[in-house]
Amino acid sequence: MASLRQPTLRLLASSNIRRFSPTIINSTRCLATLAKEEIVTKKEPLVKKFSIYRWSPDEPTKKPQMQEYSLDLNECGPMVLDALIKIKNEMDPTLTFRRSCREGICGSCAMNIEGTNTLACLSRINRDASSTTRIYPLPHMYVVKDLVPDLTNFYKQYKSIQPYLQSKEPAPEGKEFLQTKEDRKKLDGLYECILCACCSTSCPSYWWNQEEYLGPAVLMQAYRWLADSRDGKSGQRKDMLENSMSLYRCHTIMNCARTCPKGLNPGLAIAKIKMMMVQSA
Amino acid sequence: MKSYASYPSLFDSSRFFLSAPSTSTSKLHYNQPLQSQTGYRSRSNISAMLSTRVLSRSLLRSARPKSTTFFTPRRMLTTESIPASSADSILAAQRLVRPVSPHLTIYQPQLTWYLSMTTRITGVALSGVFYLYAIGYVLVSPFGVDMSVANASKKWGEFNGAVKAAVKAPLAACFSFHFWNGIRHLVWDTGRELTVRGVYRTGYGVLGLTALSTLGLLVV
Repeated sequence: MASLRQPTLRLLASSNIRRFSPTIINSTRCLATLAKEEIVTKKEPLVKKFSIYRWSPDEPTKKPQMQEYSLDLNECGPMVLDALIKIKNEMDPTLTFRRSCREGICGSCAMNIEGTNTLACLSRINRDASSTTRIYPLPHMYVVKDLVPDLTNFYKQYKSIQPYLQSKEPAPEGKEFLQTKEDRKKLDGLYECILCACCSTSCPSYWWNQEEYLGPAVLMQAYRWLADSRDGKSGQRKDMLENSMSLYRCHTIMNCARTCPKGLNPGLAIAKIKMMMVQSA
Repeated sequence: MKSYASYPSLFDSSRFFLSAPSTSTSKLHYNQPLQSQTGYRSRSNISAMLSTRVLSRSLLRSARPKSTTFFTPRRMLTTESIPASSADSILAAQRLVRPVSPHLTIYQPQLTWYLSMTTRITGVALSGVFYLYAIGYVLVSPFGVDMSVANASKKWGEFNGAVKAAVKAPLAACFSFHFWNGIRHLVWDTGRELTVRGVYRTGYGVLGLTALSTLGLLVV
């Protein structure tokens, strides 16, 4: 919806300016602006190639393929997401990807850029024009279209770990559930996860077993609730993980920590769950 | 023009249309041309032949007039309402034809998963050799072929040094790597060295120790 509104807003805005500008801006100002523009905007074009995975559900029998786009980086913002938006706006409106916040907090633009999973909005364009930047959707996921993977299963798995506080007793009347500063500190490095699925889809174990193995992102959230001093259901939470697939398909490969765009460490969280399971057994 | 909501525009002279914000899934059809009822000077020529939104936008931008004529565009998008309950069947139908995005072949080679893969492969290789020997022992013994360790090592001693090294080197390398990386995993299981830095430090450590112990086993 936002993208539908955008041109309208632009039209409204631009016509407003035209309406009022003649009376506001005097001629000397215009000259000054012109001269400034002439000085600033002389830059050699730096043409960079982007090779992007394309597949469209409208032509399902057509094999996925890589499509190349060339962009002048001097005419483009610094991040890969800027390049994608520029391509979509100016070259190929059919290019499809998710994006929202453009500042690494929503997790929408997670994709595989130059071989590693990351957020397009946090990933700088490699300015070496001799190399092609290759962009794929998150690995080993169903493709909805182009760079958009189907995260249905991922979200279902997240739901399955019951990601909410379950205390044994209600909170004291008129008060919140309190915890000590030390207990609160245990949640640092866990609650910051934005569920972009970069780590889960970087994990070979998750590639081969994603129907049953929960994957690093979801397991780190499972640990986030196990580690919470206010939660009263840790026994049941551990019971749910006590099988060969949900948790123990983690073979400590550690692609998850290596790729996390937020610098978190799901591998360590999973190891801590494993240790908890041993202690309570 | 079904399922449309029209909003009165901010300005009195015109209205513009947007597709209705819907809570259920809706499909937008772009196949109809966007007709902008615009005062963009050359609109009568341009907008008739436009078929996509972006094309129209870029052309309109270039045809932007210097006049102050005001206008709003009218969109001719139609929407088709799909109830939320049909989400599952649509998903199932799409899944039948969806590709799985590329993985092994496009993921950047990194020490993390390459060492993990090597552990798996060396483990399979070592146990494969062990199983082959054990099964061979059982199969061949009834026919009077002596595969006992004493006899095998006697036969082994009769090969020349180069052949022995060529057979021993890969076995020694596999064993060394699997052994040291196994210890790395035991360290990890205590919760130590489980940072990106720790993973790389211990990874290179394992590779160094593997090289040393492979050489050592070859000399023995």
